[in-house]
Amino acid sequence: MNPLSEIITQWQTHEIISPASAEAIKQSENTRPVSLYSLLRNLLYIGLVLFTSGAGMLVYLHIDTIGHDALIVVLALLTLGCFFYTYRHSPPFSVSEVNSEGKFVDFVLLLGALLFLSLEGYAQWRYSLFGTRYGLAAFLPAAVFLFCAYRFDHRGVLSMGLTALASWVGLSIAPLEVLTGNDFGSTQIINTAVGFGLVVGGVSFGLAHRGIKTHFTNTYLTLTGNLFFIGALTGLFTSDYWFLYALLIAGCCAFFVWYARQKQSFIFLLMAILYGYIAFTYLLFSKIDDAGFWMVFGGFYFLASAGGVVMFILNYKKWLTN
Amino acid sequence: MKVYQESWLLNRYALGLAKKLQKEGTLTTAQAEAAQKLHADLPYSPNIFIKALLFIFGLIGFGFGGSLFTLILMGDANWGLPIGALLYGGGTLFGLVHIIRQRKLYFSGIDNALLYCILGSLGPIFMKVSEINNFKEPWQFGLLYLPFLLMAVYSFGEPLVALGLLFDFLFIFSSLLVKHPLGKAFLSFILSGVSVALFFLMHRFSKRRTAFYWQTALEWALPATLLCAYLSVNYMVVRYANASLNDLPMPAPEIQFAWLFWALTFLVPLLQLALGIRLRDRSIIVVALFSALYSIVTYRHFHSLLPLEWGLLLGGLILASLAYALLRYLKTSKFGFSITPENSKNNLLQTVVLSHLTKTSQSTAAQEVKMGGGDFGGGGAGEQY
Repeated sequence: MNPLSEIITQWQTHEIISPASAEAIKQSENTRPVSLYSLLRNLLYIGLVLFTSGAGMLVYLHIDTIGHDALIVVLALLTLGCFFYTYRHSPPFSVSEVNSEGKFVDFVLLLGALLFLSLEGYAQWRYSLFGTRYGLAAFLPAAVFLFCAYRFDHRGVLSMGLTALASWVGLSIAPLEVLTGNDFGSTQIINTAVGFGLVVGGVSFGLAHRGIKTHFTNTYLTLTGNLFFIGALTGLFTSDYWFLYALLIAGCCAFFVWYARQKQSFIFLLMAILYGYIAFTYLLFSKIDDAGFWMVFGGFYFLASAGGVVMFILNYKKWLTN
Repeated sequence: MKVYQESWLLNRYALGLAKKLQKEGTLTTAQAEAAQKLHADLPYSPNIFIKALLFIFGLIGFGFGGSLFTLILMGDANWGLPIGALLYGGGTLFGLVHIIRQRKLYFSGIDNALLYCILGSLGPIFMKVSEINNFKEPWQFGLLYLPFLLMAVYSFGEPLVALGLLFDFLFIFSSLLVKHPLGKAFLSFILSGVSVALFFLMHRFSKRRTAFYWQTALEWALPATLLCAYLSVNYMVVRYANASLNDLPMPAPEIQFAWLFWALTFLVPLLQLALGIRLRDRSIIVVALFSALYSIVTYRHFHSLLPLEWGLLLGGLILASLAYALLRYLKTSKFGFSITPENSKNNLLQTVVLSHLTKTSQSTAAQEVKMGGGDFGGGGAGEQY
């Protein structure tokens, strides 16, 4: 099914390449090895996650026979070992991207971070290490992970740090849990979610603006963006100050569209258009409160608006990608 | 009739090749630019997130447009919906072909969404036909769909529709097979054999130049046939299918030639792996890994192999060690495989998985420290802090 010969002949006919180059390209393409990079890397990740999950279960199930102190010592040694190995084998800190992706040290740091979570939870359960200062117990992994993410340039550990930071303020930002994991019935949670999204997203943008780890911004905005939009939408649906939330949503949608264009990162365009569409449609339906009108024109609205969005994307593809 | 112009796909392939060769230094910038000029007639196949947007809004538009259209034709309660859906689907198909040609769309989300909707709009008329002809069996409904799926795959080469065609065919085939006692007795072997035969037929076809138009469909259908071949002889699937087909009470009783199915449950993944390595096909290797995982699940379902925690710990250790060893071993390419980094970094997937893992770990820890209870767990936001 490979039309390689056809293309190469075309290039030769148009004198883009010489006959000798054509032969060389054919030879190299036909013998090009298949890369197993992503597959093996993902298997390594899965293996590490399974290993730490199994270790965690084993600890909790056999706690009486193994002995708490021995377990804590083993966990602590393993965790420290991972962090020490990472420290010894990582390139020095740099504000720009340090590419260690796929290297062993990358996985050791991840293993260390996962073990740290087990160690901390276990130490608190056994010895009440933090007493009733639960905030500190939630904040500590956030601080450790965020520090490690910046020092060793690791986007995976950054997402762990941001999740821990959100937990500290009582929120869940795990993408599939944003709706179910947060009680958006409470105004306080809504405002915390909106504030957290704005502050953390803003800080990441500020850091990127100063050239500090600019490649981290996507992870920040992906995690905090969902939280912000869902929080703000709930505020729009339920609060008396709906117009404030509407303004915030409009502002952030505009920012996300701009950012998507700037960085060619279209997940932000997806978020802006989807959340913006929901907000706009809700406002339209709630402010023109006439059931009879919508019975007739509701279908037309959805048909026309969906067509409008599609036409916008198709017509403005150059604007979006330039 | 092929809906997409093959020259678009050729140009896209050629441009990808030119970019790759330029990156490797085989082509100069001037040569790459000349190739770009020669293959400038490209289809619009956007980024996955734009595709998702176009797909979602395509579905919304079709859904609401369809409901409006059918409402108008609902006057006849008997034929209103089938005729309305058929006309609407036909009209959409006409519009879709037009917009594909005009906008040079190629699997850009909206064309995929509208194709699924058009095929879905055949449902009401087929239900009506089934009702009139007193069709009692589901395969007869599947048979009505088969020629339309075939036409759709021929015209669009859409991968999900191709999978639909494959499964529809296998469903009809196995439904007819179980009608005969001999067919019922050998169902698993025949189905597995047919899947393997389909794999080799499609694989042979995929090597031809003419198959290029359907490359994406074939890339999806080929591993699917191998997965079907495995599942057809997997011990657990066979045992439960046997109980279901013969109306036997649950839990499913032991089957005849159990040893043979156990052997095949573990042998087929190995054969798939060998085939994947021989054909140098990554997707077949992935299928082999999934099959192997399902074989372990099958074994654990009937026998206690290891406690779950030990299974996870040892399984994780073996998997991680094996992956790491292979990453080191393939530093210089061997047997046609390498570990050259690919473009896709899967950062989004990593972010989602690790975020959930952290949240789960923290929730477990929080329960242990009696955090929460409907209150704020965090010290930074709770009132009492």
